[in-house]
Amino acid sequence: MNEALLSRIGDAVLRGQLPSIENLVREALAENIPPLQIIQGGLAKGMAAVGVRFKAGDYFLPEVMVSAKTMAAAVAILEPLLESGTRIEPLGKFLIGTVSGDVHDIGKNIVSMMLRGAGFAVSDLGVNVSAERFVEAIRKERPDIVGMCALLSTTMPAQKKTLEAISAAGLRDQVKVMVGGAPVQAKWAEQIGADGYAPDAVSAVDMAKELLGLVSGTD
Amino acid sequence: MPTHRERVETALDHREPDRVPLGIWMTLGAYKKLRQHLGMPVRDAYPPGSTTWSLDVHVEQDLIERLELDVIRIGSSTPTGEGFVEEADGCFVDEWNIRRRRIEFESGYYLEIENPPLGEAMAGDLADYPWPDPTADGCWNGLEEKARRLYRETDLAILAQFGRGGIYEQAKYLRGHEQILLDMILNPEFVHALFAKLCEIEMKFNEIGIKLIGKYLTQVRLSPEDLGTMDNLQISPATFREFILPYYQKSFGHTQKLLKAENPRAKLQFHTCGSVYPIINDLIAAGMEIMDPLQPIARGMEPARLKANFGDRLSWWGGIDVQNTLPFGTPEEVAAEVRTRLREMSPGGGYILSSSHRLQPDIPVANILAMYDAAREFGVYGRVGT
Repeated sequence: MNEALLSRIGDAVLRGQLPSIENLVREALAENIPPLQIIQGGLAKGMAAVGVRFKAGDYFLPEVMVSAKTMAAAVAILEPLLESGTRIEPLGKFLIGTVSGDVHDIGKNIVSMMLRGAGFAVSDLGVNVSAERFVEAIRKERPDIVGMCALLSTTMPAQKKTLEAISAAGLRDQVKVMVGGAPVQAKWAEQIGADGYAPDAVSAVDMAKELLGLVSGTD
Repeated sequence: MPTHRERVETALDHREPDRVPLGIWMTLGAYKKLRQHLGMPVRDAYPPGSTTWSLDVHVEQDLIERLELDVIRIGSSTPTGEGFVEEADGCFVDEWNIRRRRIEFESGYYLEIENPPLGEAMAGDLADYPWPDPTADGCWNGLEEKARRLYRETDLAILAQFGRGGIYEQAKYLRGHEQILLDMILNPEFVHALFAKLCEIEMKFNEIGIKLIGKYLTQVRLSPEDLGTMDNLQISPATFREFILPYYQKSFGHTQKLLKAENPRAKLQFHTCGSVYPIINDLIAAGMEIMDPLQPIARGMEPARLKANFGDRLSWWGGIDVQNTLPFGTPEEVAAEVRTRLREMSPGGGYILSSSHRLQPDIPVANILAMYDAAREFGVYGRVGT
């Protein structure tokens, strides 16, 4: 019974059924399914399936966004109900932002959605984030991974500068650094000394897990 | 030797001229840098180029001649004839009433949207929006004289863009990119209402422009519409066919009919970046004759693949990568890419070589010059690429 309901909840995320998600979640709660189980056994599985379809080229930006909105609506209901002892332990803390001079954020937002769906705690600094703000946020939030997006070739140099600022602040050993964005390629990541690069949002989740030793690298 | 115009017309008729024709598209920042480097006079201000927000410039005849290029770009202006209006709070407002702020990067700046003005709007609000008026004198002042002079006094091919925003692309700016994508699932009526209005404006700009100067033109470029990401379409082919294609069919068809009536040899050029392979046939059927750009590193858009599958029906503009090779490569790497592209794209005509997008200020001048030097040297038919 619970399994069937959780699978319907996962399916509602996968299909982006925003209007019906609230009722489904309330139904699950009425069945005494613990909130944590609804998140992990229902919503997260749905979002993982979204990632698979996006990577395969069967889902496009609107589908991914509506699914993420559906999941967020459910999490907003469930999060306050989690008992303190059952707080979800995130896979890791991920700090993300679009670098200085660049205000593009759709790619970054999709990476954030996929990371959250996979169980990462994501702190999003927004767009046009200076090297100083990245450094300050690393000091304050102590993330495991920092992700820097650049959507223009003209702002790729800001990824390099931000990495240099992180090193100059003595923080380079404390975080893994990933870079991404339309013009960014693996060669550039290597050249500027980033730890990881991903060509798309789903690969970014895989790379983040790999950097934290959560999965063995695939090559 | 053919004239520049004949060279372009021959290539666009899918025949081989004497050499592959050359075009240029650049931002104001890159343009000033290039002129300075070449010792050419640089003005403080230039009139707005193809789209106000992008800080494009219409590259002038003296530079086109200096680099021995074949195509000169002209177009409409804003309804006031001016670029942005700068407001007291430092915002720049364009003819669509979109407010932008100056965002600096290492080698220059762009003007980026502050708040999409229709972000919260409903379909009923669209009638009251201050749309740009394509019939305003400011859009057309001096254009007829300019086109006539270029046509008579030079032998350059003339490419004009009249539309100043487009349909899907302009909707992203007015509504917000994420919101218009969400709307396609959650609020389809709004999407159709907005696209119908934008289609009407785009068609009007093209109609007036073509009636004014169509007989002088080799190419008409529709307002740019970015439909792809680096990896795939932004929206599914089915969503594209439901929400966007009907407006393209209407707009392209109307514009093409008017253009061919003025000049049967002129061609319709359409811009979309990114990985859009699955809808190329739809775009061709709607009336696209030149695809702009040829973006070699978008997934599935390998130049040789496009040429093999669509080369008999389509020409391309672009091809030299502005995302990696031109900004970060050496002049030798640029020249090598030019030779590869020429070998892939030149057979049978149908190719105008240019950068794969605007030349931006992060591109070293030496690489711009290397691109055109290599293109002139290796683009000669009979010995292309050698």
